[in-house]
Amino acid sequence: MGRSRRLPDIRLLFGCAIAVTVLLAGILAPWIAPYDPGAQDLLRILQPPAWDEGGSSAHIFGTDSLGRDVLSRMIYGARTAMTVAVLATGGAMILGMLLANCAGYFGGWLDWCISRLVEIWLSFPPVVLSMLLIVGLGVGTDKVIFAIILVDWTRFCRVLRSEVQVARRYDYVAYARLIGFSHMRVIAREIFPATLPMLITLVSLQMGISVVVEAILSFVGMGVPSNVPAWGQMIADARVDIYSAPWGLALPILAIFGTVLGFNLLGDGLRRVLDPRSRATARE
Amino acid sequence: MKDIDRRLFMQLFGAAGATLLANPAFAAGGDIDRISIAWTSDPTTLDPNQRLAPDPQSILRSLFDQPLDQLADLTLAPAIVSGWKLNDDATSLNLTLRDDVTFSDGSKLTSADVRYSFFERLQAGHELDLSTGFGTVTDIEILSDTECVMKFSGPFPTAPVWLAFATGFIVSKAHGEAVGPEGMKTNPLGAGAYKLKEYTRDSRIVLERRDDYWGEKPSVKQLTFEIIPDSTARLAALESGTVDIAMELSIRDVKRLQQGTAFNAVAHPIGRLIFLTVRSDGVLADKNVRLAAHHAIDKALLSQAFFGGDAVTIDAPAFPGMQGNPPGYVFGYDEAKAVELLAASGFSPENPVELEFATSNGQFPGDYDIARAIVTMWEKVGIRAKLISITEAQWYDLNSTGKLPPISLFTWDNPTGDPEHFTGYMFNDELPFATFKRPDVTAMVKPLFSEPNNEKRIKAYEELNVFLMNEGAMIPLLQSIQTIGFRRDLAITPWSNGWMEARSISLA
Amino acid sequence: MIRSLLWILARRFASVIPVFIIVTMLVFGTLRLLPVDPAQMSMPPSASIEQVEAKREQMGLNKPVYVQYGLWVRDVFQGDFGQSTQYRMPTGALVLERLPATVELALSALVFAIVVGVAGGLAIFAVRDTPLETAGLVGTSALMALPDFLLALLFILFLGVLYPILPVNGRLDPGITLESDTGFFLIDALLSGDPAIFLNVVAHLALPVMALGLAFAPMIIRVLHSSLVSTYQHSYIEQARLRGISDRKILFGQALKNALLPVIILVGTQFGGLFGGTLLVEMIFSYPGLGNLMLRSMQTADLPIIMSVSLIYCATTLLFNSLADAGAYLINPKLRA
Repeated sequence: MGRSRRLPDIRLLFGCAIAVTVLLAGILAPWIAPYDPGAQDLLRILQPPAWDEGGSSAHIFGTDSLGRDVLSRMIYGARTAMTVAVLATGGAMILGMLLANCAGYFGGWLDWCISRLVEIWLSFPPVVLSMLLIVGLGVGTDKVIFAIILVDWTRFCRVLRSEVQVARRYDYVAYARLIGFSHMRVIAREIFPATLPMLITLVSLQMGISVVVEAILSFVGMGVPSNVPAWGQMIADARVDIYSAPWGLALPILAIFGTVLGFNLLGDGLRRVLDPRSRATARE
Repeated sequence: MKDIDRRLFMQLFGAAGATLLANPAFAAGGDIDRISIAWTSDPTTLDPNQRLAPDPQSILRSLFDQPLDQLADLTLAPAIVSGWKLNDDATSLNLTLRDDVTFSDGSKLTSADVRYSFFERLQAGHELDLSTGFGTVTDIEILSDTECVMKFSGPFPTAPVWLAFATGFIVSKAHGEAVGPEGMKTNPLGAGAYKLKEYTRDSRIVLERRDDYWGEKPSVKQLTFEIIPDSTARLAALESGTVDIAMELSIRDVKRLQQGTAFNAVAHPIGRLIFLTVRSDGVLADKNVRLAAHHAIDKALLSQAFFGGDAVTIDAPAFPGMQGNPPGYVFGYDEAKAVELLAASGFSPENPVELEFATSNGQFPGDYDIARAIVTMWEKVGIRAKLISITEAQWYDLNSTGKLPPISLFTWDNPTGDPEHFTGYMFNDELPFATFKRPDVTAMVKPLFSEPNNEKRIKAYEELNVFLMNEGAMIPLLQSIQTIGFRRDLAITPWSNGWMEARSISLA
Repeated sequence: MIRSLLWILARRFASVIPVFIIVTMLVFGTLRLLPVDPAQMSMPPSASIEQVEAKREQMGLNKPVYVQYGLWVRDVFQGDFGQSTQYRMPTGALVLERLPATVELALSALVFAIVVGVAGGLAIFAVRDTPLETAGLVGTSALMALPDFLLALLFILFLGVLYPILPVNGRLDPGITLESDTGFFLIDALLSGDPAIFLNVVAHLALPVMALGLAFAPMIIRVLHSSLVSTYQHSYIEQARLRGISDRKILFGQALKNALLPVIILVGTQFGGLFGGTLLVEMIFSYPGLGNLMLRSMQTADLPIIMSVSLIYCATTLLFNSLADAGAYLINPKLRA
């Protein structure tokens, strides 16, 4: 039993460490990146990474097809990914949470309407919907964020709605209403705290999802503008030179994989720690 | 001949030297059962009159012969049309057809089919890009089964060239009327050396050699075009042995193949220009900005970085050795001059002129990289360009509605080598290709379209090209190179206009 | 039971139809945001301004959006999905000729994911309370962090480029001719009776199917594993054990049946994700299906194709949702009581 108790903590810590590293890399990018991520050196294109034959310590991860430093682009790519992920997750959370609380708390026709809306949204495969939105809106960092919010709010709404429905039936909620608290106050003071563990878990998982969606959109050239470094774009660029420079493709894939894994582990770990129900089963 | 020698030779003599042999008489190795080629894009339609696009030419030419053929130096040669004569004012064209040409169903090709292809189809309202060239045909008079006269609404001195150009194909009248314009798109019946065996859109096209072909039979019995849009996948298909030839590989992969033992590759210049279109209004109404944008680009460095130095830099809308290329004219790379010109208009790297810059992404190898490199070159002198990627189709759409960004990276094929197809089209504001729309320029270009004296016409184009460059009306960059990777036991004769046909393939 | 199953299916479909109608409106509206001129794009570049204007009038583009939507609905009921601007061909035919390829890919991937997922879930459950269980779950978490398009690229890198074992593009090797009657190459190849062709089709499907399937399987593993864990907490399992029924019989007889319910619901609700994933995977493997058509159409703003293909994606997603409902009912009829 002791083993299964400690292990989740290791996973949680590991996820936490990755998430913090990527966030810090994003925030500190201008100070820690060795080069300007857009600086081209057309005479030194596709240099291999330092550990490969012909590599040099001047470019630890080598250079891309325009002679740009891959390490610097990966660090700045983290900045782009985190900007999009934080804002999109925040937006999707707020939108989803608002609708979930309305639907779950008030029920009735409002619940019916919001549930139908979610149902309509869920009939789109997420990739298809986000691409459709970008086709309609045009490319840009803000458009990517907007598209992710519009696609992924349903994830928050669906899960939180049932959490709210559960919380609403608690005695203390009914009591708060009885003593005359307003709906707003009941939701803010009684319902919201009850859904918080699930919310935090969802936020962490959504961070990973946002990173993937941003990478997908940048990969097909429907994401951030071309002068903004992004992992998906690095993959798209490197795909052409997969034979002569396989590392250029492998490194950004590794970055996305690591980041998503980190946030997933963090989310799973938080759920185990925060959610009383899953803690109960874990104890058994 | 070793490849490196051939490349050197081609660079010395320009594209005109690229095709050493017009006919693969050296195909002494005998017949090749089947060859498959990893190709870049689906022709989207097998109606040869429909689209004015360079890429499908090779496939369409295998199915439908053209009235005229082109030789090594891009001069016209007889094909289905054995004799042609333009009258003095270039308003009518007499054609004599071979009498032994049959379509792949065995029916004879006659003047009636020429009239149908170049006149009746447009009259019937079929939506065809053929109208870009032959829209001026007012009638085709049939004198006999093998003789006819094309009549034009005005002088059309380049009409013979158009008979060897995209959309200039003869289709069967009986077949066309039987299957209708929709059927023509998927059900081709032509007079070419091959007939269609299998067509899966965006996937593969299988052609089978005709035994009753009128001309010299190509050595390859079955020719398959595998449509693989991704250059890496094309290379993978070649290296895994699933195809014998792969088109348009990156220059780095070409070098890699050349060093190996199993495969070979060539990179050779073709009649395609990579250039920047320029508008004459907005921020670019200022001539200083236009010229600075040109001076700031180090074309040799672009060639070095993206084409291993193999792409020839150009300073006029023409490639070396082409008619209309102004002899000895050079427009130098000069960063200081660019800064000076911009300063005269009040701009500097701190206070840059801002503009949008459109580019294709993946239409030809290196396009997006070239555009991004240019953005950086401009930034140094004080031009801040916002890069947006568009497709070729969008380019036309934006240009026709006047929404095209001030500068765009564009590529243009001119398999005919006639300056009208470059300079003429780029600056005649009545055509959908013009971006630099200025009345004085159009006034200089338009008369050349109907100038019947060829020598005078070419001379005028040379002078016009110099004027346009000094005016900053477009920014030529490089003559494009075509790259082909293939099995070492094959020999490929590259065609200087980018065609890849059965007759280019033989056993090594 | 069959009758009530049909009844449930019918009721599901009835409730799906209004949803689908609203989806068509949403897609139509979104695509009208695009600053492109379909009339201009459907004409040759040399068309005059008057011709384009006439075409615009003919296509109804000068009318308000809701009228245009009405015209679209009218045309659809006559089987006309519009003219593709890049191919200048009817959209319906273009889409239909690619649909089998994508369906074949998606269904193969689904089968693969279910096989791997169920086997994986059972395997991890079988080693419960050992370090292997933790290792399995950690491995599953890691795989979950690799979305399908990254798996596809990694497969190309390792199995296509570094150790070229499997083909990385298309559906069939050049030089192999397959009379395709159904458009489903697996079926056509079987009908042809030539094992070499069938193997070739399978080899071409292998990497894309693995990329899609391995991205989906970890979800199945996790859901099955945790639902088995909670099923085993029920008292009837303990009673069965006391009655002397073997562990094997308990697992495959009773427990698995109940534990599969969440898996079926998961497959039904998440199939859209897998189906949408074909979009990128098809592009990466140059696989001639709907996804490639869609991406190409998005790049060239070919509205009728984007519209039709989007609706196919949505309809398929809705269909699988309904099927999952029916499947859940089959396993546990009490659900609908």
